[in-house]
Amino acid sequence: MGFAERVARLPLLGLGVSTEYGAGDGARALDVLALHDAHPRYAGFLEVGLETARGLDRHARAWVERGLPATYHFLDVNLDEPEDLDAAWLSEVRALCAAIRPAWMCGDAGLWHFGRRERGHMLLLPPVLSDGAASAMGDGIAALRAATGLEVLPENPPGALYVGALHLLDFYARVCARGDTGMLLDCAHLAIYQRTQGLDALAGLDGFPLERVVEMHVAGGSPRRAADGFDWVEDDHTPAVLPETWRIFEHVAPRAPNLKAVVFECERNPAADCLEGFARIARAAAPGLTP
Amino acid sequence: MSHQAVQRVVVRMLYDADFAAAVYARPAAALAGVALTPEEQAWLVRPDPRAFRTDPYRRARALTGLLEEYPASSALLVRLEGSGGTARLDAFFGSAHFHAAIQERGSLAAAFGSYLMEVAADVAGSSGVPPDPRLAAVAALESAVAAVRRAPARAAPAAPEHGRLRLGAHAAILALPGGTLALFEAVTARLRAHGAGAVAALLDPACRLPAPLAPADPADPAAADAAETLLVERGPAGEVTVEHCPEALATLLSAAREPVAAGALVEEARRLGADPGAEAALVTSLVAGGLLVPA
Repeated sequence: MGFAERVARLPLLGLGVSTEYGAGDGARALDVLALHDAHPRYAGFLEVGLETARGLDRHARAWVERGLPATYHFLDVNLDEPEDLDAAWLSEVRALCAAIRPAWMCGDAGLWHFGRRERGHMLLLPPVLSDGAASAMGDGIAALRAATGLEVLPENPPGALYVGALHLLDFYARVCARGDTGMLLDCAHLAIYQRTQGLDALAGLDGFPLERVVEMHVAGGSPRRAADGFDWVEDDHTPAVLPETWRIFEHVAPRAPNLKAVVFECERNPAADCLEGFARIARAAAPGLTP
Repeated sequence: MSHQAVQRVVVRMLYDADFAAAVYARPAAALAGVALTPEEQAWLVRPDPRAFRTDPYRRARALTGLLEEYPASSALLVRLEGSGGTARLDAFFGSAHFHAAIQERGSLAAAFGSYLMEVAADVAGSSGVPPDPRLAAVAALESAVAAVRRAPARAAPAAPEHGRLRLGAHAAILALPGGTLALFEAVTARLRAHGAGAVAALLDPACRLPAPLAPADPADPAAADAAETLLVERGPAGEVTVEHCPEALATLLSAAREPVAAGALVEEARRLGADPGAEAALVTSLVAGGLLVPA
């Protein structure tokens, strides 16, 4: 079954929130269940960031135990490394999927760890933007989809530097074609990329197959200036969303016919600080995203 | 998989500013030995070089993680005259050990252990006194602990039958200079008593350690040269233990470092003096205990 048929069968999740292990423990952290109860339209599902070595924390477990919708956001696999899809990791992934029953898998399609998956090796870098890397990543996505029976949506990761000949959107268009997959377009990460390249926020979107966009992320970022004068953006998930991020989101959302879900990544901030962002996302994405 | 080679060079450049500067200055020379095309080399120097330095704490974070796994040997080394102190630990990220681990998809913890062993030998040698072999040995011991900690989960014990067996990846046999375990335990206990965590303790000059350079038995200097054999093992719950291992048992287990027929191990047990008739039961008990696993 091809992507067009598969995506038609995916559930419409609407607006959601994200978490990862321990994120909900902070004094100012978003209480995802409280947000769901108070504003079900803003927290229709939970995207659970997962390392299999850590599993679910108490917040994610509480969400799952209420039977609420969820997606599985991996934090520990390099999709362009075939050896990373080892039997032990896949077994742990399947066990977690059985627990949370995700609508699909997704996650930054870059370098989550150098070398083997072991303690001390974790980081997150964008992929090398080359045709060879796109092919390898597409193959890895297809392999993980076959191994789990779930859609696997690659996400464009953040970064302060990018290496390779392709524009990031051209790279992911090739990944989607090779893996016959949909995509998670992170608008904040794309805005960061366009800034590093000195490009307009919407550059390259005219040639990108927007029908591949199944999920989108919106998040705040903080401009930084290093001691040596270098300007960069920290992807820190504050509620303060960059203007370019809003431009990208509000351009793509109404043009993505297969959009099923949008996450406002604000997991370490109190709900009151985030409501304005949720409202703006809802305005831009509605009515197509109403489950 | 050329893109993977490129990606690994990026990681090396992120952790080692000197290496990054060398790549920018002379890409072909700095990247000799890495199978990259001229185009790929050009990709690496296209970003603003300052973009590789946006995270000033990257090395410190990684080093902290490594020190948590090598507290005793690191603590001993930074207190050694002529070692260069903590700067020598940080210099790991400029070492061949680090760069090889990244480029060849190895283990950072294993590479740090190799680095500490090399530094221990180098510092002791350059100070003009005979190196205390226990310094490098403590690093070897902590390296073995790090390795078994990373081994695949223990499988349920299997009957040996007549198949081939090997020492489980969650166990290691070490032959080290006498007194190594005692020194390791004494240093570890002192660091633990500091109260602020092992890493803070090892970096605190006020935290005094047991005299690391004293022979194990001052009345018998040869005692420091006598070997001791240790068994490092990760239990089913993930805990790692280190204990002295009887010589005969160590020899038997060492014979299974490479896959070996169960019958050959029974023969080896007999040769090592197992009670007649009990050799097979001994091998069976090692399988039941999980030290030996099907090869």
